[in-house]
Amino acid sequence: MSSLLFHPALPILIGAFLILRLGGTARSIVLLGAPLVSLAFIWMTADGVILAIPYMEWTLEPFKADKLSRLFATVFAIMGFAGNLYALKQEKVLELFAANVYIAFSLGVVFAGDLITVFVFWEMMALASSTVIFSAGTDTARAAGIRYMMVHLLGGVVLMAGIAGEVSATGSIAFTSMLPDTLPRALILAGFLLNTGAPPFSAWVPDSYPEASYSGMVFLSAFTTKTAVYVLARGFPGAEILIFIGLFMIFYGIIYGLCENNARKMLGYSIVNQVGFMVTAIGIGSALAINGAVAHAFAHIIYKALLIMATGSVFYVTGKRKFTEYGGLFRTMPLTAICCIIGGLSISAFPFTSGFVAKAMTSEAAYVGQYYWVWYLLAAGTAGVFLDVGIKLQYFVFFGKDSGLRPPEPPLHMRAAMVFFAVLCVGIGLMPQTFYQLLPYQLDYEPNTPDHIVTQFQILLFSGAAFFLFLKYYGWHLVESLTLDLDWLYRVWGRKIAVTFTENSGSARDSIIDDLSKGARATIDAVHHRHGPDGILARTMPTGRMVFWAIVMLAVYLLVDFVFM
Amino acid sequence: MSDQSKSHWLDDPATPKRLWTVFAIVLVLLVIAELFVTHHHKGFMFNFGFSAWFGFLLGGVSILLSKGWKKVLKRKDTYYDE
Repeated sequence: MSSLLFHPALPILIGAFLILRLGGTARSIVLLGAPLVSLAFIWMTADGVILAIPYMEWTLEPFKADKLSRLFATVFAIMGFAGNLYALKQEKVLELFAANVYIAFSLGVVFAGDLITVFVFWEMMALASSTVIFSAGTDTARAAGIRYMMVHLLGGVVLMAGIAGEVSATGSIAFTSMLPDTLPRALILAGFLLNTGAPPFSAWVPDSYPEASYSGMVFLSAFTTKTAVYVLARGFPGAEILIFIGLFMIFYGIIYGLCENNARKMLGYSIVNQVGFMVTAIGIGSALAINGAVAHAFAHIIYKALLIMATGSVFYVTGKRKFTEYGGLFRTMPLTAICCIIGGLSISAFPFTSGFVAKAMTSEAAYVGQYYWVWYLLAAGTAGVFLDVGIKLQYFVFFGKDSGLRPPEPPLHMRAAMVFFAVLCVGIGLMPQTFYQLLPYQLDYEPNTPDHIVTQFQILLFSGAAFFLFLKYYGWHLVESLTLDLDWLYRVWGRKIAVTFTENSGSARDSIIDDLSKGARATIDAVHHRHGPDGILARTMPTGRMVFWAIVMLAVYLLVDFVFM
Repeated sequence: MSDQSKSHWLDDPATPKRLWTVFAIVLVLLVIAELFVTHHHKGFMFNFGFSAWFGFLLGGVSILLSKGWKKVLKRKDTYYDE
């Protein structure tokens, strides 16, 4: 049990509670120190089951490690450090507390060796992340947080049903690789997929995350979807349906991202798009593809956080979040612009960035595995991402039409967090082999070959040419609007059904109560009629009548005895 | 290009034209560069110039698709508040 003291979630969890008590420098030290202690614990942890606890007829394994869990835990801890640095001066202590608890629980998931432990931490993550959204304190955040919880609690129920079915069918709670070949396993897969932003529940990501505070969204972008990628990589590698789901997510994210006018919402769509690449890779399932998926998750956490930090900084200093309100911000925010562009290049898999060395493995795995059509669609997806986050976001926020806004750069700690992640994006891109050492499978693969670099540049820059030609000859026409998504079903129809049900059930309840009270009244009246002071059974009777009836009964008895005996 | 001066070099009216020229040269050089590299794999997707026209085509298709999609499903951004 003492081994639990070295669980990497513990320092961040304790740190979260300390934040509530501490202020000033002490709080900053805890915020920055706790993730680093966690990181040290992660790298001190040996492979294998570290803690096993007997529970009913099973054995819980709340602390189990291997290369896959260590990789995810490492990037979670790094993200915790950079996120806390970015949020260092966040006045809403509740958000910092919830965010750090959320990080600790996500570490709980990646070090869980059995399905029950996974489930417990999974649900606690949902509660902590909802709190991060709620802590923004606005009405829209509250509404978005409730929708977020609704979707995630549904996912939790599906996951729990799946786990219960799996345990009763196999008798085992072990969390190992499986295929969705039985109903319980399909339910487990569905529960996991919901957290990736898979269809039909993709809209929760762009709906809820942008409503968090400038720093809250940075935390949210990293953990829920990537923990889902982790459990899919461990639980369902090679489940072919994931290829189709992942490809859908890629193009969903691109199309909606291009339609979107809210910069933060657009980054939400782009999370779905990026996780789509990872889900596709897990569906391919080969060692190279799994390496691709998890390397992509690692790189993605960093460059997506960087992008959200940059747009969050713009939101922080301007209070605006729409493309129609931005433009020309490079003049006074050059550092933020450069960091955002580095994030945009990384997400677009530009050569010499982290996105390139990570995504390259997935494309290679599609080719080697003879999924040629998947290769083409991944290439198309890469071109689309560049249009979306690589160009559109940068162009309309930092360049484009001058909005007249001249905001200052964000505070030092926010700039430091962005520069740290920008350096990581480029560093990983320049030293891919060092990065590949962390991956679960040791493979001989080199992304930075001349042919690969040239063709990647061609795909990206020629798709960029399409964008700028379109812009030059047709114009982009930004408008303040939203684009309907499947969340319309629960935001409009679901609401209508709920309202109708409430109204009708209200009148039904009234009429049931009415009927019941009428019935009760009638029963009481009937009882009163017979047993009341004037009731037939309450009247006094003369003794003579009793004697008379006794004689009649005895006579009948005699008669019966005489006739039948 | 100092930030202190009122007009940034990007604001210069001649800049877009210059950027287009540089961009066009880079695109041409990228296609020429493919003549000097050896592809590690075989297949249609590794034919000369494939990535260039595929990138351009798919970029265009993505933009048109999103514009069409938006045309059909566009609503006021206060749609859900009402």
